[in-house]
Amino acid sequence: MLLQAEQLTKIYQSDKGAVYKALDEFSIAIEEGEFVGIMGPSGSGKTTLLNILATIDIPTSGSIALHGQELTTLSKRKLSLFRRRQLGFVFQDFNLIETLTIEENIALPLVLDGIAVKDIEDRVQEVAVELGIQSILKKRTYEISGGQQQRVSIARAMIHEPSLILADEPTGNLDSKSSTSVMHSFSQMHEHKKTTMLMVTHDPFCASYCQCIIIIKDGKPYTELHKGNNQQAFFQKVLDTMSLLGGHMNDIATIHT
Amino acid sequence: MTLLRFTLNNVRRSKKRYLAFFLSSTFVIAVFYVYLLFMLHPSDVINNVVKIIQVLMIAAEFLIFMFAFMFIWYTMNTFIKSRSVEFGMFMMLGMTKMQLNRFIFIETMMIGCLSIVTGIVSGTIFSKLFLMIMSQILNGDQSFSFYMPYTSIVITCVVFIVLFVFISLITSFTNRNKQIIDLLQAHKKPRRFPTFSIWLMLLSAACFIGVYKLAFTSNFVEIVLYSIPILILPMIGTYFLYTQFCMLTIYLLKRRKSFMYRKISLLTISDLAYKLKDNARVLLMLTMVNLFSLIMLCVNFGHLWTTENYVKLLTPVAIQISNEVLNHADDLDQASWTKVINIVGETLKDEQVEFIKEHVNLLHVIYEGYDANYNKIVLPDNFQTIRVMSHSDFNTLAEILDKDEITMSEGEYVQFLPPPYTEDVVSSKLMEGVYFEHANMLVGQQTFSLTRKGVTEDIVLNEFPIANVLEVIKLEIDVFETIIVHDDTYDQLQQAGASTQWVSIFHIDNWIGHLNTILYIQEQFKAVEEIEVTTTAEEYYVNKQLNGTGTFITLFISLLFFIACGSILYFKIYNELERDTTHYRKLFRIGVTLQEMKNVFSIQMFILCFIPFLMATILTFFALNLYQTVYYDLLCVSSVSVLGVFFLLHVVLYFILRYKCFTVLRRVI
Repeated sequence: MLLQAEQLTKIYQSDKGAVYKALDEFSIAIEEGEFVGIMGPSGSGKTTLLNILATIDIPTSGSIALHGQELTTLSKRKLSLFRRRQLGFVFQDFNLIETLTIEENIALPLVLDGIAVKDIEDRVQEVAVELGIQSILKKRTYEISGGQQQRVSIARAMIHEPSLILADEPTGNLDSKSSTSVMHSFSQMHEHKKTTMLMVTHDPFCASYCQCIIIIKDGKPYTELHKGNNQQAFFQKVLDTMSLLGGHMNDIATIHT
Repeated sequence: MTLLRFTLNNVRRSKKRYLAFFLSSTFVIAVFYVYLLFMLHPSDVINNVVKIIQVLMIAAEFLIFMFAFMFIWYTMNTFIKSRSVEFGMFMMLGMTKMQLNRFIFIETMMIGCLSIVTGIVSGTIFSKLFLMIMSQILNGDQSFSFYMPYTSIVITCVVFIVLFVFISLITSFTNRNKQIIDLLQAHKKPRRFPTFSIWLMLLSAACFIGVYKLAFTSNFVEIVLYSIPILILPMIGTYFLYTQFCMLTIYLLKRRKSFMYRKISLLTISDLAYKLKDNARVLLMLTMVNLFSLIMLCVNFGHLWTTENYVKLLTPVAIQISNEVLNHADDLDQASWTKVINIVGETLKDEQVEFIKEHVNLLHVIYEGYDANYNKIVLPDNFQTIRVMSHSDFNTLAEILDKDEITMSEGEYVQFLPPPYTEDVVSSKLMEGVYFEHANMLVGQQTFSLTRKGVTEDIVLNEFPIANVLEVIKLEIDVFETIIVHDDTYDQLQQAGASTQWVSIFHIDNWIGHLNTILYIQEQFKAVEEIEVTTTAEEYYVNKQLNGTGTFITLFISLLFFIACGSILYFKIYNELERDTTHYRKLFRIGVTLQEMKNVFSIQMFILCFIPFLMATILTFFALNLYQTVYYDLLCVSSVSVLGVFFLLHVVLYFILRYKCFTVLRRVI
């Protein structure tokens, strides 16, 4: 078991005393090499869950362990180092550092860890070739398209070969063509590298790339869907479940055909 | 509702937004005004100060003006920029370019006029306090009374109204091509990576070379003549140094992967490029302030600390009494002369002051000076007559004053060389026309041709009293330079009918211990027109007062400006931090630790604080080098200690900025 989160609860309390439970004793376990999707309507707690797993938010109660190591008790500094070495992030708004070039952005996690310059350059080249972004390495973030930016951030998330990659609505800011290419990159990475990935999305088409989808509602697991051999059938299954969930059609961002 | 009404209301109803711009304008106007007020103060002491270091004072006022200009332009620019969206909205609603320009113009003039009024009022109140402190420092001198300075008020108003008009015109001009969409999205635009241009770098280099050429290969008159380019060129050079050379350095560093890919260097260097670019103008201002303060303080402190040695070298005779030979030779007979000398002797004895008395006769001769190629040197009207001393008289005085004796032969003469000049200064470009190679003495119908044998640093008469400089500059009194000739030449000149001047000297070894007695004696004869009394004590007193005043003024202005610049830098950095919080949040998510971010900021703040200091120090040393050849070689100690104090000021600024960065960072996590 790579990641084991037990009984995660997150309670938000407003100044006026109103209590809101974002996560309610939520447990999740992810095997090494799995590609898991998390779906759910707005306000169901998906992003809270991801933030907690990413160690940038603290659960009110519950525990998270990665490779058997408990994370909730680590110091801030240790957590930073943990994120840097064990986790890779892909965000909805790409989160590339504007002051750096593409190449430098990709290299950043390795640079911070004090890896030898030669190794860094080799790794950057390797990842760039895999993701087909070697031609834009010298450019700056505002010179490339959104799809390219997202592939750069995938490269950055992969470069240090983390144990787990967390993706938060990676296609949320992209058009359908770019979304397809980004999702393609994800599944390619997953197949070649056997990287463990956890993706939050509310786009059923993206979700259909995952092996397994956990649907969450009101901070609790609602159901779990597993992909067989046919992605198209899986996509249909996701759509059905989502409409069953309450028919919030506006939660289903784009219907891809 | 007219445009004027609209503008007025706009300002009136959002006072808070205009406050920063208004306050900073008020501040610089007040400083400019206080300095001007001081410069034009009618009191005697100040007049002396002003006349003697007039060039420096005017240069300083000019610097203050330049500073005010940049400061106001800068705050105005940031103010206008921060309101891009507002202006974009106006234009979208149909305001024409012309109307917008008029809107900005009216607004600027309104705030400008208001800040001129408050600046002058607060300056007047402040100067009252300032002058009170001054008079306390200068031995309770009551002459620093408060006065109503109409000239200063008028000058300040005119200068700043012109400045505000000019600045609002520039602002309209630079905004003329902006599209509405650019205005509306001003804050969302990606930031281009700062680049550099070879041409601007060459321009920067050319400025420095130019100023070096101007300052180091000109004579004294030319330096005064070129003082404005000498002041402006380094500023231009420094600005482009910051915007261009720093970017070049960063560019070169970025190309070196072995450096960039070493831990936090990557973050430090890439962010630094933006920080330097964004703050280049503030850094330039900080450099100017540093430069101005360092030079002025070094010079003033240098003089203040070395006053005693300095006056001893230039006016070595404790009490020197001479008669006014040319105009009033007949007025004073031998008997009354002797009486004067006796009174001085008696007074000194009564006060139990030990002294050695000596008497020499000098000749006054009209002369012509020639350079090595026998070209006549044109002399000012009040420099036409020279005093001649025989070499045996010189040796007598030299013995009393503990200086070296000289030997010489007929037909030669020796000129005094005031310290710290070395012999090379005599033939240098700087002193062109001051030291001549040959001189013709014209007595009656006869002409005696003499050739300079050399110069001596052993001054044995009170040749260069600063107390009289004012009259000399205004061409009100004659200046008699003294040359030393062989006894035979002296006799020949005397026989030809040259007029004689009596000079009695009282050498008092411990003159500094009897300042009051000596000043009392001098005071007694102030009213007697026929004789002139010069004393080391008076020189000492005047010099102390001059340099004390100068030091105080510069210290005051330097500190004010340092605070002004420091706070601009502080606010800029703070605003940038606030703007970039998302940027830092991104870094934290990726896993950059707090300590790493702190290190990044420490390095960046260190560079931002100490680049202006370093630059100013380098420029100061160049300037002082120049000043040393103009004046004397005693500035080392003072410059080191002044630098030390300024270094500490920058350390404080550094820690304040760093602390601010850290608090913002902690909040971001």
